[in-house]
Amino acid sequence: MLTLGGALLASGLLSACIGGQNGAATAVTPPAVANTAPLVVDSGPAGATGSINHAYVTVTVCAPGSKTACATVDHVLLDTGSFGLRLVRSILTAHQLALSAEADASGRSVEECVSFNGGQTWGPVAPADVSIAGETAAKVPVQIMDDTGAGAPPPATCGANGTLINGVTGFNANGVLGVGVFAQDCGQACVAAGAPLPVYYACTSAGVCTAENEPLTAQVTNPVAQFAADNNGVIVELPNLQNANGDVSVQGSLIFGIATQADNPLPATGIIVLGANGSGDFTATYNGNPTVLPALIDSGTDSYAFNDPSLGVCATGAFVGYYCPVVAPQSAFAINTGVGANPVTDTVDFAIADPNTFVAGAAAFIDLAGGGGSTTFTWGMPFFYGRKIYIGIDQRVADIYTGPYYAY
Amino acid sequence: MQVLCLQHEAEVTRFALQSAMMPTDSDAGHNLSPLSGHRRTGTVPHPLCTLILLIGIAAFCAPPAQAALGGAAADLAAEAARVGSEVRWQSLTQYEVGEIDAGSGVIVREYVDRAGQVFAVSWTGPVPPDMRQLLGIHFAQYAAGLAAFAHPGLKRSVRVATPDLIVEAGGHLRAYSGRAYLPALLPGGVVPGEFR
Repeated sequence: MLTLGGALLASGLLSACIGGQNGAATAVTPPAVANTAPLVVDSGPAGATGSINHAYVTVTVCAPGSKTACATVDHVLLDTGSFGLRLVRSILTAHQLALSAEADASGRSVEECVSFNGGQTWGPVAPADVSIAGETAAKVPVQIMDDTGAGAPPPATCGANGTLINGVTGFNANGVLGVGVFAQDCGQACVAAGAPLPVYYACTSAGVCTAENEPLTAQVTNPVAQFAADNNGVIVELPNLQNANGDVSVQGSLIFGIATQADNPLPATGIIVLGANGSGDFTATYNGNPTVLPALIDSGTDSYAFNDPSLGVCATGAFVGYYCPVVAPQSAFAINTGVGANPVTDTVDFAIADPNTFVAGAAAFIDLAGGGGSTTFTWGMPFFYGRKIYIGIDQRVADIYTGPYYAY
Repeated sequence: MQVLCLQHEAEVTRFALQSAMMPTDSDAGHNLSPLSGHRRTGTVPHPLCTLILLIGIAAFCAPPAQAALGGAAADLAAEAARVGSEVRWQSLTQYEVGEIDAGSGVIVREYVDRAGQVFAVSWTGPVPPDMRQLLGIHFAQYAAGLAAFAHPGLKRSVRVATPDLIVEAGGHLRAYSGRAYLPALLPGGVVPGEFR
């Protein structure tokens, strides 16, 4: 929740304390940590091409405490709509890296089933040292998406949503870096439930798995939240496209920390900060329709995703299922409203293109809209081009703001 | 505690009834009054049976079927009992809504028409519902629709649309929501936006 008043009061008191000291010993400023990683939007990893509007980053993982048992994994999907790092097991094996599952209090291996609406991932939760750019987090619980079948088989409840999507073709990526507004992927709902959620499982050596609660420290965690500094959120910066009908690739930046160094300030003006609720959503209405929808800014969604029955859906071509407006580009707007003590409202105009005018073989597109789940409004990748998107982590402070929040 | 009168599965012929027979919130909602005559099968309330605790009777009388899209309203009580919960019914003009708390924070609502058939479902929760169970015989069509998406990769919001079945699943880690319905069975004037 956004606690503007509380943060202002606290920072005022802090300034008063510092102002009282008058030129005593000068503090040694540690050198700035390299907090910027390259981001690329392209057609995908070696094992699965054809991606559209997927932003990728390179992540290095090591067995805890090791500097040699490591893997540098490219084409990890940047996902501001999920929380935690997930890596495809066969990719780690190809780098000769095996990470061991964490054990619960009774010595059983902890594994996890995570739902994405197209399917589910399954595999052990393994602590790893995670490095991106100059930032490192030690012993971060990471989900190993087991596409090799080496571990315990998934329980019956995992895969009921569709197919298991453990491999590179599941996400068109070698992994997923979830840098959304929460630190842990499940949170309190998985800590002390009367009936444990079908998320975390304790598995015996015989491969029998039972759902169980997990403390926050054992849950899969957004590595940014465990960096020593620059750990209050991320900034995603992508330029405008060069071609209105698609670019083959786009280069941008993933910046760690918000208002922690010279390179990641929160502007004082010209920025909209939307507080998010306990689910990680603010709210939005679409085109003046009174229905209030949960909303988020999600790099893991490749389009503007919302329901508009008046928009035609592409029936043929490479973009079947996305919107094909009769008159293109079609103008639309949405009104975002923040949740919490400071419910800022902002109207965002956007356009919906006819994706059949897009260039074949390109990987980045503006104005792509798809009839996704009708119960939410999602600002997907088209919203990121030409913007800096700030994702503030729950309970972490940046300037006068406290997460969770989205800003642009 | 919700109480319910059930009798054994019986074939029942219903004829058009006055709208005054519409069930209220206080009863279990199984005394449905379809607007058109037809034959249907299922557990029905017996006017003379005594009030008995739901879980006990459900174990004896209710068929062990899953409550699913396209299924029968009566199966909801059995489903609720199976997860140690009860059905909370709400009457609306065109249909009834039975809400089940699956116990892990997942709320499933099933929308039942006058014929006692589940024509829509909606859900919200920290994990998605068991789609294979919720969509019943329609799951295969949903899975086929997922597999047919034009572009590979992560699909956070999905919409599978066929003439017989519409599934709209959205949300993300910690907060999932969605709905599924059978367009051919929507009562007149009902719009999908009502299923939340």
